[in-house]
This record gives sequence, structure tokens and C-alpha cells, in this order.
Amino acid sequence: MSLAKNNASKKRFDGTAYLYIAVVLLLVAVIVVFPIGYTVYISTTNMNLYHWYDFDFIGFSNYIRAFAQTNGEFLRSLGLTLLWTIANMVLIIFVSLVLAVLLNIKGFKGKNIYKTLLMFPWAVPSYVSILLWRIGIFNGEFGLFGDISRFFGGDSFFILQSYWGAFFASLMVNVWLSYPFTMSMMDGALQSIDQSLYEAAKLDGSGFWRTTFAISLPEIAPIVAPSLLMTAFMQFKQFDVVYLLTLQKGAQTGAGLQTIITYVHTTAFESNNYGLSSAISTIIFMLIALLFSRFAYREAKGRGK
Amino acid sequence: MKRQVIIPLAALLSVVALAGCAPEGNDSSTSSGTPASTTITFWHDNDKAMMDYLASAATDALKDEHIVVQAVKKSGIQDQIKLYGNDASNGPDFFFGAHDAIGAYAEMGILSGIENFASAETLGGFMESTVDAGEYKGTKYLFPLYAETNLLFYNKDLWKGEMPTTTEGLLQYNKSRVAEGGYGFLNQYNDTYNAAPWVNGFGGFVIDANANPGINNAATKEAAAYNAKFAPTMSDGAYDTITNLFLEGKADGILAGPWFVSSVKEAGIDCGYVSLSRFALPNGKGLAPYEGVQGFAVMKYAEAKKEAIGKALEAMADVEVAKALAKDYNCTPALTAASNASEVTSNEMIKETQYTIAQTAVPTPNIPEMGVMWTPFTNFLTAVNKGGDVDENAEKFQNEALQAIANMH
Repeated sequence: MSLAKNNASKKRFDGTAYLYIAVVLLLVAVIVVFPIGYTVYISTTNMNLYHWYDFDFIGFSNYIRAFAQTNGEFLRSLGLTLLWTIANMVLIIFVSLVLAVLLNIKGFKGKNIYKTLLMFPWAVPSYVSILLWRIGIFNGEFGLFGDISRFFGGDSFFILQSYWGAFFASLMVNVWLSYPFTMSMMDGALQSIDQSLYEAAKLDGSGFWRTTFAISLPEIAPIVAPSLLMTAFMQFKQFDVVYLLTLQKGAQTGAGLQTIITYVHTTAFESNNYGLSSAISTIIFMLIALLFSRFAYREAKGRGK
Repeated sequence: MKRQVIIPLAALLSVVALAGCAPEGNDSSTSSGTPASTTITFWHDNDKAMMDYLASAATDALKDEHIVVQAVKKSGIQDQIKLYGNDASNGPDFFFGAHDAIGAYAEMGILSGIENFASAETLGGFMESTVDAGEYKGTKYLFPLYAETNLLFYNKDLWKGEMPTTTEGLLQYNKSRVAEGGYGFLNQYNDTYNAAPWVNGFGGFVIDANANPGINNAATKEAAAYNAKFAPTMSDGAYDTITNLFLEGKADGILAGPWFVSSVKEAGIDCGYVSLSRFALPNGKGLAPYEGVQGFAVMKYAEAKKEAIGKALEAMADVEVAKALAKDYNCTPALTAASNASEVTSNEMIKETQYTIAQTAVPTPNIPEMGVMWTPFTNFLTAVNKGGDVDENAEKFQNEALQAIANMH
């Protein structure tokens, strides 16, 4: 009797709750779901320069084309994007962790000043930072790289003109732009660790490395995991670093570096084939959604335990 | 109480929101019987002062006709035109831009032929090459105003000795300047547009009229190999680098167009200009840069304003307007009647541009496929300039270009 009453009130509550969030759901539908749905719809049409307004439904032809391109540009850019994501994550985690651990050394004076300085890349608009890197660091004539080369008796060289040189340079800039977020997450997580654990470890004679690997890392892992996951997806769909360093109109360096997102951009805005580029965008979306749901499921399962 | 506040507020917000949907620039008349005035708007992504001058010149000329011409600056105009190509309420009536994008707009079906707005007599008053540049599949779409080509800009205080008459002479000049620790004549040698004088001069091409890429064409390959000889003498060939070297007075010359003149003047450089046609390649032909034509194109949905737009275009094709553009903005007039005006003949840059157009300039292709050629061609040039095998890279990037063209459909 009481259980039935509870169930009934629960049902009524659910209905009211949906009513309350109806406006938000509508907003989400308009802002998030509709653009995704429209992109999927366009991906099944032949919307391109020659069918700008009179496009027709063509089924999955664009998806087949994306994978079957004779020069394999799509698959090559997908492969490079995976490498890009992995390399970035390894470097971002390493740099962030080292800095966060250093910032949390007991008795470290001027910690707040250093922390503010280290957050600097986050504060500057990325457009400005990237162009500053391009001219101030990578430029063969006026940049730091050119100066170093000439100092050691070499010639001026322009790193952004070669494929792997541009990859390395883009990686460097992206890590510089991305570490402040991860570092601040790790810093916060490190501060939340119960100090008695460190005291106990100290009494047991544990050194810096042992303490880091046995206490710090396992303790912060569950806290920083969601932010790392988010960072990984941000790296996967990174656009502006590679574009502004090597592909910007009028300043193309000819490196030929294409990640999946710059490839979509080229297809959409140079080839003007919105059907094909929407199909590629949908594939990327599915990949991210698939990976994200898998990680989110694992995380939820982990928490449940 | 709440309702008393909310209902009028909601009504006010609705009115404000809907007011935003009202189209800009339309016919209007007053109730007092004053003749109706017509406002027509063109978009541009050019020098604002120059475009405002054009709009005011046309408005003044059409004062008695009660036609008002408005110029609106829009950055990234090519994307904006694509976006608003079918939107009569929010898009422009016509726009100002380069001729090489005409083919893409025409394929989209958003342009009206310029002959609907300008008489054959008016169009006949322009240099033939400038009208032809705006023609796509037998229809003329562009109302040309001025033409531009790349030239050799040189710093009169730095350039040593006589100006060479051959590209070999230029190369030797560059080598000797580099040996002295300086810079001779600089160019963005990896850039398709800036390497085009070499490619066209050798008889090669980026893309032909039938949309066949010319990367693996024998003459193009020969041109790319020759262009690569200049690369080691031109710093890194990046836009930022070479423009700064020239503007800081460290380089003797640079390949640039009229858009660079204001920066040169600001830097206080005593600059001279030489037509690229004056430099003979080893095959005896002059360097052949691309010719760009800037002018107006009219949106299809604006055909209802045919009379007003036609009159505005005619007003802007005035000799006095062309003279003012030449004097104040170094524009090489498309209008034949303005060619011999003192404002034009006394301008060294315009004279050299006219010479280039008459001698060797090649109109930048206006077919839509040209839009996907810039990236593979630039990558091809970069590979060759870095010492890569010409034949191997020509095949590789020819295939990339073909794929990019296939991706358009």
C-alpha cells in the first residue's frame, strides 16, 4: 500500500519535473540538437556549389566518398589527428603534472606569483598567441628559431614549411595554450589530498618520488579524469593552431598538414561541398560521441562501485 | 501587478525583435508628396574611404533622381555573399569584389548578368580585358572599375645600379646582395599568386579554361624549377618576413601590388615601380603576373531595382570618378576614357600596371575550380623550393588538385 503510494507520487513528480525543464529542453533542442540534426540531414544531400539551393537527397553517398577517396586524404588526416591527440595529451599531462607538483612543494615561496604567470597562456586570446608564436618564434628571419640556428652557424630556417616541422611547432603551441587548464585542475586536486597521508608516508620514510607515485597520482586521478577527458576531445577537434600557423589564407606555408577538422574546413569552404563536409563532420561527431559515452559509462560504473 | 508589468514588456520586446527583421535600404516616400527616394546598398571588403567616396559620388550624381547609394564594409565578403546570396531582405543589392570569384557565384545562381543594368555602350567604354575577366559561360557579370597586377616595388635609396632587364639579371643581383649580407628583390616564392608570373611566363598554367589543373604540365614544371632558383636568395619567402624586411628598409625590392602602397608610404620609403613584363625570362618572354579586376556585380534578387542600380553604376563609371580613384588610391582605371588623364599618366605605378596589362598579364581564372587550386599549387611550389623532385611532386599535387576538384561535385 505504502509502496504503491510512493510509486504514484514518484510518477507525478517525474511529469512535473519534465514540465519544469521543458523550456530548457526546448532551448537545448534549438541550440544543440537542431544544428546536429541539420548537419546530418545536409550530409545526405548533394548540397554544393552547383546545387546551392536546389539540393537533393542522395542517401549515404557522401559517407562512402569520405572513406573511398582515391588519395586517402580523409583517412590520412584522421590518422594524423589521432597522433596529434595522443602526443598532445602525453605532453599536456606531463607538463601540467610537473608544474602542479612543483607548485605544491611545501614551503615554496612566491607560489601565487608563479601560478599567475603560469596561467598567462590561458589569459591571452589564442588568436593573438598563435600569431605571436608564428612571427616571434617560428619566423626564420625574425623569430627565435632563426636566431638560434644562426647563433650555431646555421642558416635561417622556416620550421612551418615542412610537414613534421609544422606538426612539432603546432604541438608546441597547443601544449603551451592547453596546459594552464589541466595544471589548475591538478593543482586543485593536489591541494584537496588529506595531508595526514603525506605525514604518514614521511614517518614511513617515503621520499618525493615514492610519495608522488603512491599518494599524489592515485589520489588526484579520479578528480582530474573528467577534465582530462574533456581536454582530449578538445585536442581531437583542435582547429585554430594548425590553421593559423600553416593554412591561413594568404599565409599558407605549404606544409600540407591537415587534421580532420582543417580537412573539413578545406572541403567545406574551399571545395564548397557542404554535403561531403557535413558527412565528415557527422563521422567525427559519431567518433567523439562513441568514445565519450564509453568513457562516461566507465566512469559512472567506477563511481557506482 | 506582475501581469501589468510583464504583458507590456513582452509586447515591447516583440516589437523591438520584429523591428530587427525589417529590411534595410528600401523605397520610401513621404506623405507630403515629396518624390519617393530609393536606397541601394553595396557591400565591399575594400578601403573604406575609397568605397565611401564611390557611394557619395554616385549619390551626388543621382541627387535629382532621389537615389541614395550606401556602401557597407563586410569582412570575409566572399563567405558573406554566399550566405546572403538568396536573402533579398538582408543581403546587399550589389557588391564590390574581385573578378575571380564570379564563376562560383554564377554557378550558385545568385548573380544577374551585368548587361541587365549597363548598356553595351557603357561596357564598351572599358578596357576589353577587364570586361572579359568578369565573363563566365558567355554571360558578363562584372562592372569593372579598376585593374591590378603585381609589380616590382624597389627602394630607390637602396637599389644598386641599373634595373636588370632579365630574370637572370635579377637572380644575379639577388645573389650578389645576399653575398654582401643584404637582401635584393623578395617574393613569396611558395605562393601560387606570387609565383604565377614565372608559371604564366613559361607558358604553364595553374588551371585551364576547362578546369584541368596544370601542375604536371611540362612548362609549369620548368617554371617551378626556375622559380626555385630564386628561393635561397629571398629569405624564407613568408609574407610577414618579406614585407617587414622591405618596410624596415632592409630589402631593396619586393613583388607586390597596389594594396601595398599605403604601407610603403607610411614607412616613408622612396619607392619606384617596375612592370614585371620588363623582365625577360630565359625563353625571351616577359614575366606574366595575374591581372585582377575589381568591380561591381549585382544580386539576382535585386533585379527589381534595375533602374536605380543601373544609374548608380553609370554614375560610378564617370571619368572624374576614375581620375579621383587614380589620384587618391592608385587605381588603374578600367575606363578607357580615363587612361590618358594626367592623374593617370603621371602615376608611375599605374603606368607600369597598364604596361603589364598590355604586354603579358593573364587574367586570374574565374572558374569555380580555381578556388581549390591555391592549396595544392602552393604545396607543390613549397616542395620544389625545398629541393623536392619536380616530376614526383608535380604528379602528387596534380592528383591532389584533381581530388579537390572532384570534391566540389
